[in-house]
Amino acid sequence: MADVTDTFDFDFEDSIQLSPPKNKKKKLIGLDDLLDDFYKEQHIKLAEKKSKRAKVKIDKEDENDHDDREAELSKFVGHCEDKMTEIGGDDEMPLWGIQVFGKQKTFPEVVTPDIKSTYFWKSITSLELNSMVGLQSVEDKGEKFLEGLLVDGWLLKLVVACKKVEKPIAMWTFDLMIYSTSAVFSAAAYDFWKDVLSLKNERIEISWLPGYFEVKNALDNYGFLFGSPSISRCNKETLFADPKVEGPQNITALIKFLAVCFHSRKHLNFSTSEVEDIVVVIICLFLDRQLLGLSEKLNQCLASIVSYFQDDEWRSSSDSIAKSIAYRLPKDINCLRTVESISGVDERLKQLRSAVAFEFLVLCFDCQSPVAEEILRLVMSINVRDKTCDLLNLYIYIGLAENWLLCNPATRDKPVIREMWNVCLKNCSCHISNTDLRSYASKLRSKASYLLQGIDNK
Amino acid sequence: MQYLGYEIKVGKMISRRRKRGGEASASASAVGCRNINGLNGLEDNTLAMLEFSSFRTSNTLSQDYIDDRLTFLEAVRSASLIPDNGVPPTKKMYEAIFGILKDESSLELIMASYQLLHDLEKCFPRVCFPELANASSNPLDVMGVDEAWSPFYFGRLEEEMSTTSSLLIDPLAFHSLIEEVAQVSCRSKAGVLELQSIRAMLLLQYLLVVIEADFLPRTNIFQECMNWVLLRNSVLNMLLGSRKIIHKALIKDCLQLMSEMFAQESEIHENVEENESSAHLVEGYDPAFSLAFPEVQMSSRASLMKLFCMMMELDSFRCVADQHGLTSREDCVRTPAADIILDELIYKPYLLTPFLQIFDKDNMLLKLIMQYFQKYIPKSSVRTRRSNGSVDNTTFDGILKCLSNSTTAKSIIKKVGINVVQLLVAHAFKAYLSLSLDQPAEGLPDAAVNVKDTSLIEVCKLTISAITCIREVDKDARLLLMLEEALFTAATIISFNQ
Repeated sequence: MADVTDTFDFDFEDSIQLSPPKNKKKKLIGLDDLLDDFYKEQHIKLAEKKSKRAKVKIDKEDENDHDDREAELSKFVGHCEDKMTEIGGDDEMPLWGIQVFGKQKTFPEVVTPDIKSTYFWKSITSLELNSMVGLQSVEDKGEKFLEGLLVDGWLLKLVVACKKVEKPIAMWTFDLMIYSTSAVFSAAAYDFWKDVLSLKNERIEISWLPGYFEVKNALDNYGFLFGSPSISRCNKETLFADPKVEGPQNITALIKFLAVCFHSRKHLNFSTSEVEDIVVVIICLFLDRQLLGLSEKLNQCLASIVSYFQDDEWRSSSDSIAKSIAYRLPKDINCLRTVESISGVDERLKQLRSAVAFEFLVLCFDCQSPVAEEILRLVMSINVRDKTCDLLNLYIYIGLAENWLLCNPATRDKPVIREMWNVCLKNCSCHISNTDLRSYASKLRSKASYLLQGIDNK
Repeated sequence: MQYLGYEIKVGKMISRRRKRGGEASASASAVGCRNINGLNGLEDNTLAMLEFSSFRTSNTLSQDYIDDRLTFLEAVRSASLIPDNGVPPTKKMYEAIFGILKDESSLELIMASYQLLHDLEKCFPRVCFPELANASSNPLDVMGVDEAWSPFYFGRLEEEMSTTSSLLIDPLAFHSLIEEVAQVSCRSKAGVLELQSIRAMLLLQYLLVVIEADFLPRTNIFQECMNWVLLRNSVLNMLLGSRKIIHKALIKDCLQLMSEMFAQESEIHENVEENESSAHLVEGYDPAFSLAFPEVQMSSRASLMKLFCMMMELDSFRCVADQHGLTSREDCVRTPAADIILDELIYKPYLLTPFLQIFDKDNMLLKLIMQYFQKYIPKSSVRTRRSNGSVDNTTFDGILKCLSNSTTAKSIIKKVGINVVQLLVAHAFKAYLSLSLDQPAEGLPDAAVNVKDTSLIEVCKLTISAITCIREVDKDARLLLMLEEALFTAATIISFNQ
């Protein structure tokens, strides 16, 4: 107490500021603490009161806006119902599709050769004809004239008449076809190559032909992801998201060129393994949704390349193509798309379809001994009654196995296989009840029973 | 290969027995007996996939709806195309596939159904003939024509068209499809309507594939044994002869469509960059369209050209049949397609460039251009030998000689216009070159274009002199680039052969 009176004796502010003794401070702080506590309590009470009030308020608001909220809710429910009917009460299949092209590189510049260096120019200047033709005006036009010759189709006639396709011309037209941003030039250059490669006249000398290097280079420039194009794009947003990674326009010309090239068979310098690589690339292209509209061209191209193999090398080639595709592509819904896109009626394509489906199955099960019986045993061993069983995967396995067996009569007709396949299908169709609410249950069930009926009918 | 359908006798009904004794290849009966349950089961099971689940919402298709249809298409493929002894789909199944191509609005479905129909066409020929070797002595009697499903409908009465076949194409619908393609491709520049226009073009392409698959085997047989009835019953002839449409208007619209497609392509060429930047702004833009569109357009243009060729071929076969007295009152008189095309080209010069650029059947093109000139070459200077009102027997070098004569050249240029003459000479020369360079051994297939008498060098020289003459007639006119190129080529060929 004395301390307090002391402080009152002195000038109040100075004493506190100059020498605040520790004891005093404690006491003063004690007072402050009390005050603080009081305020805190008050604050909490206030807060509680406020929240109570707020609750009351919300309740009141709720009652007031009841109709609005009800409308909103019913709208939401309606929306859900729409969604439900839309998806038919079942889970949607994931969308297939992978990103095959990354960022496009800058294309190399297409160099137009000097018309004066060409074979046909040299022969013409030596004649009195040149005054008649007016070579001067041709010379003035320079590369425009050569482009005109190409677009209007005269270049082909000149080449046929001279029986020679010179290297600069060949390289120029190839580059135009692959890299020109002008659709007209690209198409004209493709026509030129198509005609040159399918000429009946054998005596034409072609000094330069594009090989694997050029094709690979072109794909590389288009941004083709050689390493692993296996980024699945499983929903619509990412599938169509980035216009910058849009597939290159000239890919069409390249696909058509490859088709013609392997169809003509004549002048090709591709090794067997290179051709196998190209087949793998083409099959990957099927999985890019951007190229959906080109599937017809891709099919033709695939058929023509596949027919290029010699009979004796096809067996091993088809196996290695199938293996590398299976390694490369994701083991999800895309497997089915891959197999279904190999769709020609050609014998070899059927065989390839079967081989690819088989290799996918081997990898999906990580199968140690890749024989038919083992694979089917693994499929059979899946217990569909088990709640943890992944029905989507099973759906994919059944689809793969169907394609594998369908295109491979030798295996399919073995009694053991036939029996096992039957059991697999029965598992899926009979052990899944039609009230099963798991995802994909009804899809799997109906697929299996459809296939089962197909077998019974035979 | 499997044949479907039963044989219908042309002429006398003889070989019911042959049908019943059906070898594996003559098939409907065989298929019918052996597999009837299987087929019906297949039909029910596959079609069930379409009815099964989901509803179609107004503007967007649910993924489930699309998946069901894809599963259906895939099931048909596995049943019909993949097995070695696959059976063709039933009519109902065909109709369902065709319906998908015709009406759905998903690129994936359209492509898949088009591809499937295309492959089915390859595997199951439309027209089948019992092996000629077996068909006793007279192949004329045993022309089997199958009863395969066809997307065309030629019933006379409207009532006959039941609800199921309402999606089939009758001649009127074919004509309006051509108009639709022309319209849609006009409007599709903004990128919005591209799906519709891709669908319309693919539909047209498929129909033309069917027409061709039906026409070609019949022409082969006609050439072998002069059976006009077969050609009379071809889809193409029934289409052109139908009273529902005006044959002339159809051809005109086809020409119009072709020129529009051509114009649009060059436009795309000019505005590449502009298009690229603006296309992305359009809502719902799908990069798949921008890749698919030019390609689909190019192939529909090519199939349109095929249609022109088939029409002209049909006319020339008809001429032959007329000469042999095989035609009857059933064949109503039609203006030959070539005449209609020629008239259009003369009266609408803007059609000329696209037509000459696109039409790649060289012998027909050369013939057409010669007919064009023959209309304007003063009669006195041309030897004409008319045979039954058919083509004038003038040769290409004869025409070049006419053009090398400055008075004739002057009068032709006065009537036709200098640019048209230049275009015609250049394209005729190009067509001539293709014919004589590409198959030097065989010579030219068409007798009307007589080139055997004159050597290639001779024609090149004549071309040069004709061009020189054209240039002298109108000194102010500039040579078209196309003609300059022709001149250059002719000169090169001469110099190379000296």
